[in-house]
Amino acid sequence: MSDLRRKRRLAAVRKAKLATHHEESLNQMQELKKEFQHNLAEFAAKYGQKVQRSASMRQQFFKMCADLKVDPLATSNSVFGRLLGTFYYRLGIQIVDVCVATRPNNGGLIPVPELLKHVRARYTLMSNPPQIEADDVEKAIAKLGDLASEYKLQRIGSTLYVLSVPTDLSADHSALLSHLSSLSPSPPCASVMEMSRALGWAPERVVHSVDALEQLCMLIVDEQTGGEPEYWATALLDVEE
Amino acid sequence: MYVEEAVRDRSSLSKVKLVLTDEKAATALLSHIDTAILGAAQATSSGLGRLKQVDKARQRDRQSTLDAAFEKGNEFTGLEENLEKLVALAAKLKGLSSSEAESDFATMVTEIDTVATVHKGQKDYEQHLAEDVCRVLVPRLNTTPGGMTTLIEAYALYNRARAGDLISPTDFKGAVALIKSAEASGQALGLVHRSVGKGGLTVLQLRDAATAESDAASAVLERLAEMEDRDSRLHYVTAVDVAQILSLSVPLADCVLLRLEEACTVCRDEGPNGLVFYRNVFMDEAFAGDYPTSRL
Repeated sequence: MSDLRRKRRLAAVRKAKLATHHEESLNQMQELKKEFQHNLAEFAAKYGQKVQRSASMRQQFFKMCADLKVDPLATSNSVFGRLLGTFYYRLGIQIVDVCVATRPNNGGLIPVPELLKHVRARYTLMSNPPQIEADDVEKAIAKLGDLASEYKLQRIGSTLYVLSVPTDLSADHSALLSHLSSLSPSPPCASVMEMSRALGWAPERVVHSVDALEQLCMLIVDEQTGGEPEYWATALLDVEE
Repeated sequence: MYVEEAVRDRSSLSKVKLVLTDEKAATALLSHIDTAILGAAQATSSGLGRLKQVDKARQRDRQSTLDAAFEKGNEFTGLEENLEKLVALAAKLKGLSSSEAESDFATMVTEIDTVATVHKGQKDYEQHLAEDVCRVLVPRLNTTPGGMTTLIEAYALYNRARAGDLISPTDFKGAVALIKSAEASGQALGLVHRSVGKGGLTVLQLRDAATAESDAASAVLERLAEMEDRDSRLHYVTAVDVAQILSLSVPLADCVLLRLEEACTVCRDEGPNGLVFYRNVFMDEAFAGDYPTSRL
């Protein structure tokens, strides 16, 4: 009996100590939080412009936000949003403009390196253009995808593409486009029979995918080859503006 | 004494001779010259040793300058130190009681993230945005065929109107959700949220889009009539054709065609040419009787 009482007494003491410890830690956290808030506001005022211009500072800031489990791009109504958001929201709009402008050429599927080239060209008009990397484009697209599901990243072969039309590329479509991209440095074109042999598919399966991609304007047909018609991947063509 | 005189009065040949012949005097002179050249007030040693000392002192200065510069250059240092303490404390709290610690930390982070603006909270901010979006888009959509715009175009349009003060896609989505719920509750915000077609492409359209849709229908039917008059055959249009006719983007032209189909102005045909739309001849009075097959 006395053993049981002793154990109960010890458990109660342990519980009380734990609660006190917890409260002390919480108080410490409150103090640290206030200090962090103050530092963050000061940082935003002093270095906000620098963070928006420098790719390495943006990466560092994202890493810090990841530690805090904060999405700095979630809302513009926050210190984090005001510090970093403007850069990514503006980048998102530039990406939409480039995708719309190049859609007649590529059917709404554009490689990220090409998109980056076009976006950087738009920013060179600014007096002090920011550094923009592929990582920034990926983050901006991910945010746009919250609003419009037609904007998404799609990996085809070893290259990342941006899809900006309301369609889903099936595994067959991706495999076909991946095969055409692997023909580099040769032109990205092939006939139905060539694709059928290379992919190990029945010709009907190739025709089905080719028709779907042609309707999306992601493939164009060249019927003047003198032999079998050849299908060209528009997203892989180097089209001068 | 001879050394000092020799240094002070260099033109005195005899004194120089003395310095050169007397070893002690020569050593003293060299030490004096070292001091004079290096510009040190007090020399602890002479010659190479002194040079090494000065070089070490310069290296120390350079290093401390670099350290100071690095500290000043790394603007994140103060923030990151602060953050490390926060994260370590959170981990400690987590060890005590995982669920409580997680929620305490999450609440704390939310408090860091909130800016004291004119808005009382996120909902108030989104309500303000919803009203502002309607205020900006309604005049624009009044002059757009079909009176509608896709969400992404609306977002780009609205942010351009805000110039520098851009909003996030998530905030815009929240504002659109409020527009949708306002419509459901009968509140007149000027815009309605609509899903068009099987794919459910989301658009924002004028609450009163009758005129805009009628204008779009007239333009499309006029083009179809022109083509029919040329060779007395039924012709079709695609989304790309309608995009050119109405000066819209292709996805939006697709939405306009789907709305015209819902209004029975056009009807679809899915075949070798893909998805195309013909004038809805089934609504013609002439179809009440036998329709001339030569027109098909």
